[in-house]
Amino acid sequence: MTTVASRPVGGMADRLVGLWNEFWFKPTSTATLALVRIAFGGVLLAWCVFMSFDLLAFFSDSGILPERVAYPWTWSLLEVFSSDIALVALFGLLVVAAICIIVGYHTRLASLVAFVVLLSFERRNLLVLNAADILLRLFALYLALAPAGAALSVDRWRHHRDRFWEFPARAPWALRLVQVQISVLYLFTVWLKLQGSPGTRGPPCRTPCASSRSPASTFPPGSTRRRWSRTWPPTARSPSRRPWPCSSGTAGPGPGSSPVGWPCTCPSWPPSWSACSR
Amino acid sequence: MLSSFLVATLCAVVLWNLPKSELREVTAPLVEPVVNLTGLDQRWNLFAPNPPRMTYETVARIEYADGGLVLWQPPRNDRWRKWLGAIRSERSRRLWEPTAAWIAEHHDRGGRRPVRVELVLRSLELLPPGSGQPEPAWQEEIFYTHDVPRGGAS
Repeated sequence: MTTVASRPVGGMADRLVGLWNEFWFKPTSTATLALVRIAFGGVLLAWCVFMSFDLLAFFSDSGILPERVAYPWTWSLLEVFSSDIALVALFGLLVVAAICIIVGYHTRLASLVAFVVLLSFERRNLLVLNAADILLRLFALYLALAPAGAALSVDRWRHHRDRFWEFPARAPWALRLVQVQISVLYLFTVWLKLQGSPGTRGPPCRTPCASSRSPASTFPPGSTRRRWSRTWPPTARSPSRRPWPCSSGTAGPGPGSSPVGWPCTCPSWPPSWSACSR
Repeated sequence: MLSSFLVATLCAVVLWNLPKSELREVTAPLVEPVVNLTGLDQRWNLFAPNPPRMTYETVARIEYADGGLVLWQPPRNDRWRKWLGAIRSERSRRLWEPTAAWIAEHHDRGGRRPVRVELVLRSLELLPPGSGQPEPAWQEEIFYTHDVPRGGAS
């Protein structure tokens, strides 16, 4: 009886084990992984280019966050090496790692370096980053675990030059981890979303729509922010040179006046050029 | 061996990304050290459960020693928007001073010295599409004033 009863259970367990092994370990072509690696390297390089403009402002001790906010169980190389030179050197290392990932040169090592440096930047100032930045770091970690340099890479060229255009089959478990991670994120977001209101207050696209009315759109046509900044003081301080009609020389109560003390009463605040120059 | 690693990773990822629940609270003390140390931590709510009902902007009003005024607006990129969004609350009070000092330092040029930087929070209520209600006005509030010490912008 025991033998008969355990057969279906054992069969089910075998099937589950089989499915598990097939999902994680059944060798598959590394073509997808190679494309993911190249795309990731490109995105990482672009990330570096855009981040370079604000690198010192965001991550330096002389920037907007002089000290790292240390959350429990987190670490950052920038805590150990906190000088601006170390910051720039780490950033340079990240750029080199991104290039190595694109071409597939010492891919695992390059991915590991990218992961450590990205994590160090993120732990230094988390408040300037968004979910996509975190995703980039996770991709670097999973690529370091995957045979990402097995195809379309300098590594492949070095070791199998005669079979460069082949895509060897490898266990895809690291790529599966990426898929699972993204799926889990979206699954729980849907779950969370279902607990919210039905959206009668308007979709998130209202935010960018509203932003179009923000101060950036109040610059004179064809002007730049810098030029507007330069012209602001004289027009603000010299009533005779103001391009808009002011009811008084200082901000005061009344429609359109600014509670933050702009020295001119204007129909809107910040002073809209189109509204004020008439 | 590898399967054990995969199971452990899956558990950590799933438990850490769970919406707020009793299960998450119970397991967080175990999971947090693992995900924080390994860099597996991640949260991405995509405006769930509800999208924001207000839009906020932070700008700075810079006053120079010669009496000039400049309105500083952050560069139009997501990182500055994130930063200025994060510092606007009272609990981020300690971030106001370095932000204002940084703005002052980067406007101390051309012989013009900033003497005061005011951080201004602007907010606008978002109406549902087609509500028929009149557009609300932007509200402004100075939430921090930084008097620049003499002899250095910072």
